[in-house]
Amino acid sequence: MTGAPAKGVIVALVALLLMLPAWGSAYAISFLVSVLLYVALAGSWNLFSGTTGYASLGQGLFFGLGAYAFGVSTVLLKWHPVVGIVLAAAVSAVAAVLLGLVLLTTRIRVAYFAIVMLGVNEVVKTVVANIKAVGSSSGLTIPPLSTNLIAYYFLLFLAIGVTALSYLIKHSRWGLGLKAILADEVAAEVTGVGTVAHKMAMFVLSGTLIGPAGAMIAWYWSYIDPYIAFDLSVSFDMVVMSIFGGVGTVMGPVLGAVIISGVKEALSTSIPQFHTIIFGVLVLGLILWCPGGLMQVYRILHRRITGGPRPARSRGAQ
Amino acid sequence: MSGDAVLEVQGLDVHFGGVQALRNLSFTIAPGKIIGVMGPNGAGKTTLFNLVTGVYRPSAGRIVFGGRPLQGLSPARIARAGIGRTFQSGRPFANLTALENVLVGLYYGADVRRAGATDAKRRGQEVLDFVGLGKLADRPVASLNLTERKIVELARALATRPRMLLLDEPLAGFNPLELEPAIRIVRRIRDELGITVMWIEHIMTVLMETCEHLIVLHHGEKLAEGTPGEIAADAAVGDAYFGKKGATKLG
Amino acid sequence: MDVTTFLQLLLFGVVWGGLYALIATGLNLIYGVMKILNIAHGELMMLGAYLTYWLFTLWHVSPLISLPLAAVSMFVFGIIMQKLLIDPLLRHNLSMGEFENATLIVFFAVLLILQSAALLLWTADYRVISYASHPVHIGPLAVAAKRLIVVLVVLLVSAAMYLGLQHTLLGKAIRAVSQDMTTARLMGIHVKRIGLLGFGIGSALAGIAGSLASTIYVITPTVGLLFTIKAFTVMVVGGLGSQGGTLLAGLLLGVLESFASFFMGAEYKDLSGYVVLIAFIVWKSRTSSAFVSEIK
Repeated sequence: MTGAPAKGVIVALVALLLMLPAWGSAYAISFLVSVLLYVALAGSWNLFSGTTGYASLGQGLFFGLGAYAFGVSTVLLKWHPVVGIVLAAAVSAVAAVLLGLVLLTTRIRVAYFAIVMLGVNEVVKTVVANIKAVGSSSGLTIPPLSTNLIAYYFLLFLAIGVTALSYLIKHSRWGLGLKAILADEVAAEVTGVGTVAHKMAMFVLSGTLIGPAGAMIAWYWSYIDPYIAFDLSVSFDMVVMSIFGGVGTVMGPVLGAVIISGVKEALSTSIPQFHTIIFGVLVLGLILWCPGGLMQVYRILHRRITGGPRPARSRGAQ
Repeated sequence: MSGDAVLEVQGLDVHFGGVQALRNLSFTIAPGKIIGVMGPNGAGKTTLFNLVTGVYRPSAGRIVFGGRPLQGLSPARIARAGIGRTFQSGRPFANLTALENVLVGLYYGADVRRAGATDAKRRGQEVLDFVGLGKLADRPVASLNLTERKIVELARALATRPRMLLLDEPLAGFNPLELEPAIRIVRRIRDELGITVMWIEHIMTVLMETCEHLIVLHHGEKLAEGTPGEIAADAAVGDAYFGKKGATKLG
Repeated sequence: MDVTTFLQLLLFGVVWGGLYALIATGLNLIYGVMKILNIAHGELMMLGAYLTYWLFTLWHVSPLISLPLAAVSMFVFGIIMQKLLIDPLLRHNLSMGEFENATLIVFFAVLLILQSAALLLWTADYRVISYASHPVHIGPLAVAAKRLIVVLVVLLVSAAMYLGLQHTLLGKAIRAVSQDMTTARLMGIHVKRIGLLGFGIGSALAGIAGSLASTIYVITPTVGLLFTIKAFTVMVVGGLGSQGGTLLAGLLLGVLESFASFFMGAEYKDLSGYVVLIAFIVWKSRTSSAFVSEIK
């Protein structure tokens, strides 16, 4: 996204969101909490998977870890909730470092990495469901938020932060190294790009940002159990939204999160299964028409409107 | 350890799932020269390059670069230590422009951390100018033809400020008119930049004319080593390439 | 643990292992000919299971008759999915990575649609068939006849698959495409058609497995994903493309789960499979080159 008009739109939007609680309904706020959560999650997923090409199907692991870190800290240790959020980030970071050291220090195939992450999510879910101290499968009840606005503003800043970070990295030297790795890992290595360091850094960054989101949502729900904390659909939604919007782009995950959340919300008034079916069909339609996701649609439309050259069909093009 | 050798390889062995790709390979590379690496297909030439650049690990043997052992170092570290490399099929980063390719080399390989963006761009442009692609700086690599891509890859390797450059069939895919300019670039790399070059090539006439020293591999072993004159007269080499009947003149 | 219990657990493990191997063979086949990881594969198994269930419950049709019906209908379903969903993607001329991403989404959407449709049509109620439950005595063991039937059918189908792949022209073509798509195309093999057939056959196998599963397991709309992951475990451990390996790996997984369930409780049954999968992949990516992305 370039140009003054685009930046102006973004600034206006952010200002609007900052001031919304003054006149927005409780429903609007809770809807936005959900949207902002997914913007943050999809963006964080994209920070790793979009830049390195390693699709993780279990990034929701850090969401669950963050939620439980918060639960343990607030309910069992009775510490201040803010500590819980910081702890969530710390726990996720450590987990990401450990997992990264095991998985990312080899040239593991992308498909296997994806499934291993999925498996780790399931393993942790089962293990947690058997720990009595955290309530096993019944989970924990958490003292609720005094006001939903805390969740709203936290997630708003997290979403903005993730998106801004994504933009900064993309336009930095580090980002250039990431693009090189995406294009050709071995060629990048022999040019001096430390692929392991890059992958690890993005993986840890991604996890560290997802953890606090999980913590805040745990507080927002005022309840957690292994099945909602480590719910596979959190992992899947992150993936779908990013790919839908356009992997590897800055605004792709944002668009994907907004639109898919919106569609889900709009459809949920009818029978829940019905809206999932329609949602599935819509996703199919879009991906089959434009596999590059919404950002590709945007780019194509943009060229058509401005009459520029057709976008180059190259691997990993922004 | 020989005094001023740039690269020294001793007793190098490597296996791949039961197949021995290289066997007891030893040689020394003197600095500032263009050394050709020859051999029929499957002789192990590219494997050798992969070992030196750290992409593969040897099963046995030593690789010493400028007095420093390379075993166990990651390819990125080796690149930063001063070994640049191009690939047979030409592997520039297809999602970047020519200049961006060179910048990756500059930022990561040459460790140009303190240079600002404008300074780096200027240096990158210089490298592209050196190889004659100055005008293509902002062109996406995906839009370039094979020859241009391979030269971009060469520029990228040069940008890492190597002491030694490993070129794997750089001329493969070039049409006859493009050969001379490319060969001139390699000569200039040796003469003006003082970089030692190891050059795998199938076009033997080129190697015979440009290299000061040749190493011939066959079935993973060193078959012969010497000046182009010596190699041309070597019957065993002719044998390996052409069989007993055609073993007359090379080059 | 006494011998009888041991043998009982082993037998249960073999029954389940056989089923896992069957589903994995289908997944393996699809991956081989199309290089796609079909995460909706288990949903076809689910459909086969429900088909058998309803035919049995509504019209008392024996599962033995429903089985070939499930096979055929899932074969057709698979072909339709391929034509409707994968062909359009292929026309876009994507890179390998983009293609993988896109197919991931496509099959995930299919998974969602099928699972939700099943939930909508048939509710989340547990479905069980009571069929051939009379015990057969083998030595000290008493095993329900239906389990023996499952083992028998799995063996027959696996043998048929093996013979088909080794000795028929189609089988050889499938193996050729799985090993080296480019060369196969150059040799004149109609790769697209093989891909289509491979997809169909793989789906049919899932249907058969589902049909069998409905006789010995509780069927819900969500069984699909669980089995897909197990099938993937088997596929990875058994070795992509190796039918013997898949069978062996399936049996091992089934037996492992059986014993894990006995010693650690039913919750850990699925867990043991995951742990094996993760440990195996991690170990292999450090030691074997097949698990690592190509250097070229």
